[in-house]
Amino acid sequence: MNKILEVKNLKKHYPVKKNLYGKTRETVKAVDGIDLHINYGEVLGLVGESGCGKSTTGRTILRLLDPTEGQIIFQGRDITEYSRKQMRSVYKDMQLIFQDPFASLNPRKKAGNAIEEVLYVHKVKDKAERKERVRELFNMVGLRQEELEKYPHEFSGGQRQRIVIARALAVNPKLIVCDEPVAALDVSIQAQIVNLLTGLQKRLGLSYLFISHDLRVVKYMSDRVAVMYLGKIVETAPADELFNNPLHPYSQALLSSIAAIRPGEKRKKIVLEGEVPSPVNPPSGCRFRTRCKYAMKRCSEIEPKLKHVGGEHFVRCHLH
Amino acid sequence: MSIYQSRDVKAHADKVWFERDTVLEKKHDKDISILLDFIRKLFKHKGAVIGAAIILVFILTAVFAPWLTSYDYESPDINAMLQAPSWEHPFGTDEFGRDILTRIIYGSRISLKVSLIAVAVSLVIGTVLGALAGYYGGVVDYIITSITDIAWSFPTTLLAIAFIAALGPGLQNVIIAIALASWSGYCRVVRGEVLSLRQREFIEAARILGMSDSRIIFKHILPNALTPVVVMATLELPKAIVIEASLSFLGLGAQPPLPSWGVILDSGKGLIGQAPWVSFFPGLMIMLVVLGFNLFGDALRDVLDPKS
Repeated sequence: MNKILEVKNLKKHYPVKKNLYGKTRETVKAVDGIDLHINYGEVLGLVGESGCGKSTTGRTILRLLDPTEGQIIFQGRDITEYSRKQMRSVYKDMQLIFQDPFASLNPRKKAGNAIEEVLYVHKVKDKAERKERVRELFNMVGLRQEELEKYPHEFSGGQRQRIVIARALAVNPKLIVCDEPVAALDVSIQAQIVNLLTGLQKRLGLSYLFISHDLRVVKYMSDRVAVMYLGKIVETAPADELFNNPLHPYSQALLSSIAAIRPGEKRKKIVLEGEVPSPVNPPSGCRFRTRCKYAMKRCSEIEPKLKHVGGEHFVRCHLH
Repeated sequence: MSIYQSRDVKAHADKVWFERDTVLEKKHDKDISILLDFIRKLFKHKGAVIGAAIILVFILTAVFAPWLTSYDYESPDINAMLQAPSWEHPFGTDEFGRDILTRIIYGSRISLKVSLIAVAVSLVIGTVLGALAGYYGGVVDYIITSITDIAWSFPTTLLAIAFIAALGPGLQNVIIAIALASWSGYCRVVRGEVLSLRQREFIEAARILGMSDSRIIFKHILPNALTPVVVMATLELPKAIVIEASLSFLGLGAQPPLPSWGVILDSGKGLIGQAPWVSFFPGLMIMLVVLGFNLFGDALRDVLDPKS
């Protein structure tokens, strides 16, 4: 068994409109039947445009949101029905890094104390030992010792994200869900944080679920990538293969949108027509058919299954 | 590169390093500077200064009462009954010949004690209930909010009188009655604050980091929700003083010969024609102290408001 996390048919629906008797009339299907797995020491990138359900997926896996349907199996244990109290033991092995580091730090706690508190809660009772570990964590994420005594508002965005990373590492997790960890940072700082995350992953043998809409970052970070569209995964493949040979029309369009790195480099851009359909009323059959230039009659009638197309490459499309 | 040029470069580098160091130093002093900034803003506010001065005099009077007067507040003096204000008795004497100033000075102890304890107790009740309602939501929220709304819908003084009716008169019961009658305001404010803080990411982060609900509520949410509560408490103190005086005036609070301001006021009400000073001075004191707290509380609210 080498899967650290397995998610089966995960669904998260939000009721939006209720009728007179309190019965739900409409639901937003933010996540609508997702299967994915992450192996020990692997980085799985989860990409898709805003509002496709990436973050909801991450939060549901961490049980910050209760899934409507499906199963979450973490280290062989089914944690789908775990209570808040039971989840506390799971959080020793599974952590989250937030998009906005400032919002995820208590404004009234000094950086050092914020991390020390985590150690205290996790039963490191000896104060000297805690201080030592905090220093070690600070070193690990490249913060200076003088900065232990500062409040979050005194740090720059990149430094704050380093604190958040150090805090997540304090419990020695095995899997970290990174929810757009660099999206809120300056481009010049993004590379530093990405390198830090990669370095830590290699050094500590961590697994990441790396959620991002930035395809270049995902390409750099991930071993495998899953592409999400409107609450469903449409394609998963090893990173290199996906970026060289995307099979799903949506993946193709998404990847063609990466800005050219070298000036003068020519790329064929596929521009998608129309808007993302509402997750309240997703299209019948294939969800991408309304914007797909290859759409056939079959696409509106039968929902394509996730098909194995060799190696670790899966795609949800009638073309393949 | 000529010598001059390299000197320029060095001077420039020095300047950069100097600026960097000063920036770093400034950053370290930020904690203190925020506090200093707050105090400076507060002292620029006229109301705050006047209010603070009145409160300070009030507190010092209460603390040093025995040193401020040579008379006794209890024992009658048949030779000095109902004397008008004079050098000997600046605020005059009452029908038993007791010095009004002395009684007011000792009365400030009662006002201070009652208001502080009652506000502290109601603050704790209101804050804890508000935090529970805001954090847990659902049924807990529904029950607490319903009780709060009922408590909130009664005028505080009326509710306090009802509690006194049940508990019986006396200073201790006045404290309990005021506390039980005035927690609903804190509860509503804290619930609102907690409701918005609960959605913040650092609370989610605390949950994921394995912290218990009580730790999250007391160490992460409440410290961030207390600013409006502090302002509210300074504005509740004068209300408690007035309610205590009212209850004592009605004979439901401190019992004579205890020199509560309400009791002194009450003792003068039959003599208002012949000895108005008996009622006038305690009334004036109540007004001044309430004014002081209100000025200070309003100033505090202005200064703490981030939009100001």
